[in-house]
Amino acid sequence: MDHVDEMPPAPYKPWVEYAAALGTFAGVSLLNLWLQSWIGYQAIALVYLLAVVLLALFVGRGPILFGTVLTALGWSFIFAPPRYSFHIGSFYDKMMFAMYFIVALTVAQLTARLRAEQLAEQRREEHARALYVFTRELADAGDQADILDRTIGQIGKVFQADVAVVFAASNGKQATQFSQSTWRLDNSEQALAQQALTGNQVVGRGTQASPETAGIYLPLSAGSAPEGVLAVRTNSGQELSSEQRDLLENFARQTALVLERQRLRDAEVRTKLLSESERLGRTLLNSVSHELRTPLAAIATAAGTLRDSDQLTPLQQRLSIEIESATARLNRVVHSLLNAARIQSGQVRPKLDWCDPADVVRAALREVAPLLAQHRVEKKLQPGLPLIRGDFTLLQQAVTNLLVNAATYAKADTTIEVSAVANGNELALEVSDRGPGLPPDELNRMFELFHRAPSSKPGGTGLGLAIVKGFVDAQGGRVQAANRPGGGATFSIFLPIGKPPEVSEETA
Amino acid sequence: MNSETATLALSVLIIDDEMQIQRLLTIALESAGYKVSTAGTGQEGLALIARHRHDLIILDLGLPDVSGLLVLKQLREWTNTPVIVVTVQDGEAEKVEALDSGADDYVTKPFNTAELLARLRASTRRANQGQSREPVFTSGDLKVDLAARRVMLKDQPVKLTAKEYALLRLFIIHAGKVLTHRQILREIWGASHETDTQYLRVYLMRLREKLESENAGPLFITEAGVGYRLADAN
Repeated sequence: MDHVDEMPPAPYKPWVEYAAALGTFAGVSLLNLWLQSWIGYQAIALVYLLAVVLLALFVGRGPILFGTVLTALGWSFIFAPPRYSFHIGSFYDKMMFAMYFIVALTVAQLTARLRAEQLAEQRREEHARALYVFTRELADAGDQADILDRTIGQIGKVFQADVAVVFAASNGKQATQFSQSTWRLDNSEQALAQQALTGNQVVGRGTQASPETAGIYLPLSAGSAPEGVLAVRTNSGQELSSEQRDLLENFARQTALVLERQRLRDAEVRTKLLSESERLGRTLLNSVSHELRTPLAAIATAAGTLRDSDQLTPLQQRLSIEIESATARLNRVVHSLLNAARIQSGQVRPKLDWCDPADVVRAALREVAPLLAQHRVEKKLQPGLPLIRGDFTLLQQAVTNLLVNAATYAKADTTIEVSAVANGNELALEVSDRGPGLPPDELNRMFELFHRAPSSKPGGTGLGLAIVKGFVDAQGGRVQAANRPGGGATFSIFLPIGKPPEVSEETA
Repeated sequence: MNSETATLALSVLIIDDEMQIQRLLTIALESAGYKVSTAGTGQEGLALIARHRHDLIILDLGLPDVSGLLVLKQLREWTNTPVIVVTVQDGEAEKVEALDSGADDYVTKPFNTAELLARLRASTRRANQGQSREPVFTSGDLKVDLAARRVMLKDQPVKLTAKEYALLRLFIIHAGKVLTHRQILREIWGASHETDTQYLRVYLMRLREKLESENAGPLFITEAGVGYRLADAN
C-alpha cells in the first residue's frame, strides 16, 4: 500500500501567535536599544517595520495588528523624543508615527493575504495528492470487498479515523455493515446511516442533520441511488474542517464511482456468459432441428414419390398416404417440441411489425386446411380491423395451434369458429369449438406446459397451448380459455391495439 | 406423366449436402421426367453451374462449406437460371434474404414432392415466358387487361387507384412467385419506404376488399413473415 502523508486536523492556536508577536516586539526593542547609539530614532522605526513584515510571514491577522500597535507605541514611548512618554513632540514625528502605522498595517495585510493563499494552495495540493493516491489505490482493487477494504484503510490513515461501510438494503435483503469496517455502528448510528441513504445526503457531525453526533455519514452514490454509506469518526473527536470534509466527500464519490464501475464490469461479464450459453443453446436447437427434420424430409419425399408413381396397387397407395400423414404429424410434434424449447430457453424474439389480423387468420387456416377437412369452419372477420403491432409468424403459429387443438378435440362435422374482433383497445383472435369443453377448475391451467386435462383423449403433446401462450406473451398479449354456452370451448388471444402508423394517401 | 415435361427433359441441379435427400430428390425428379445432376457442396455446385447449362437449380441453404446464400449471390452474378432454395421451418429471415438475393422460390423442409414439383413447373414457366406474357390475366372471376389497364370482376369494371393498380400489376407480372415485403415496397413506394410494411398491409386489405370473394379462395396468398404471392391461375 502507498503511504499518504498524515494530515491530522491542524488546530488553530492564537495565543501562541500573540506570544510570538509580543516576543518579537521585545526582541526587536532590545536590538534597537543597542542600535540607537549608531542610528537615529527615525531609522529605528524602519527596523520595527522590518520586524512586523517578517512577523506577517508567520502569524495571522490579529497577532499582526497586535504587533503593529505594540511596535508603534514602543517606538513613540522608547525612542521618539520626548523619550519615555507617549507624547510625540514634533509635527514631523507625528506624521512619521501615522505613516508607520499605515505602512505597517498595509504591508502586514498584504503579506498575510499572500501567506493565506500560499497555505490554501498548499492544502489544495495536499488534498489533490491525497485524492490521487486514493484513486490509484482503488484503481487496481479487485472485487467489491477489496475496494471497500482499501477505502477504509486510506480514509482511516488520512483522517486518523475509524471507518464503517453500510450497504443499502436491496432485493429484500436488509442493510448490512461491511465486515471489515474498523468501526461497528450501534443502532442509533445505523439509523443515521439509513438517513444518509434514503436522503442521499451527508448527515452527522458538522452537517445540518444531527450535527452533534460523533461521526459523519456520506452516501456512496455515483449519480443514482446510493449503494451504501461511508461512516467516518475521527479519533480526536474533532469536527472536520470544511476542506477536510470536501476531501472526504471526494473520497466517497471516488469510491462510489469505482464501485459502480465494478458493478458494470460484473454485469458485463454476466451478460457475456449468458449470451454465450444462449448461443450454445441456439446452436444445439438448430442442429437437433436439422437432424430430426432431414430424415423426416426424406420419408416425406419417399412417400410422396411413391404415391405419385402410377404403378401402385390400391393397398400400397393407401399405405403410402398413411406414411405421409404420419410424417406430417411427426413433423408437427418436432416443430412443437422445438418451439417449446425455444420458449423455455427464452429464445423467442418477436420481430414486431404491423400486421393485418384478418391476414393472420387466413394464413393460419390455409396452413391447417388438411386437418380441418372433417370440420365445418366458420370465419368471422370484422370488417375494417385495425393493423396491430405483432410478429406475424408467431401470431399465425399461435392461431394455427388453436385450430389444431380444436380439430383434435372436436368431433368431425362439428363447427369450428375462428374470429378476429376489435373490442375497445384490444383485438381478440378467437377459436371456438363444439368439443367436450374444459373442466371448470382447470381453465387457468390450460396454457401450462405439458398440462393435459384428465378427461382429454389420447393425442396431442400438451405443448400446443403452452406455445400459444409463450408466443403471445412474447409480444405483449394475453391468452384465455373459457367454456362456451351450449358446449365447447373458446380460446382467445388478446393483443393491444396501438396507434397504427399513418399511411399517406396517394395524391393521384 | 406430363407430356410438357417429357418432351422438354429439363435439367435440374440439386445442391444439397445430405446424401439421402439428394438420392430421394433424384428419384422423385427423374420419375417426373427431369434430367438430374447433383452437388454435395457449394463449391462443387458453382463449378457445375459454370460448366453446364441447367434449367433449374435446387439449393439447400444449409450447406457445410459456404453458406447457401453466398452460393446464390455468386451464381446470380452471371446466370438467371431459376433457383429454388430449400430452407428449414422458422427460417423466415433466411427465406427473405434468399428471395431478395434473387432466389425464384423456396420450399420448407420437410416439403412434399407434389409441392416441390409444382414450384419447379411454375418457375420454369415464368422463366420461359419472359417478357412475352399474355396481356390479359384471368383468375376466377377476375380479369385484368394489362394492355388496356382494365380490371373486371364478374364482368363488372373495378375502379382502382393508381397505387392499387400498380400493386396489382406487379403481382400479375410475377404471378405465382413470392414477392418479399421489401421487394414490393421498393417497387411501388420507392426505396425510402422499404420497411414501411403498414403501407403494404393497408393496400393489400383494400385490394382484397375490392377483388377477393371469400368463397373463391384468396387471390393474394400470405406467406407468413416473408411476403405475398398471387395465386397462380394455371
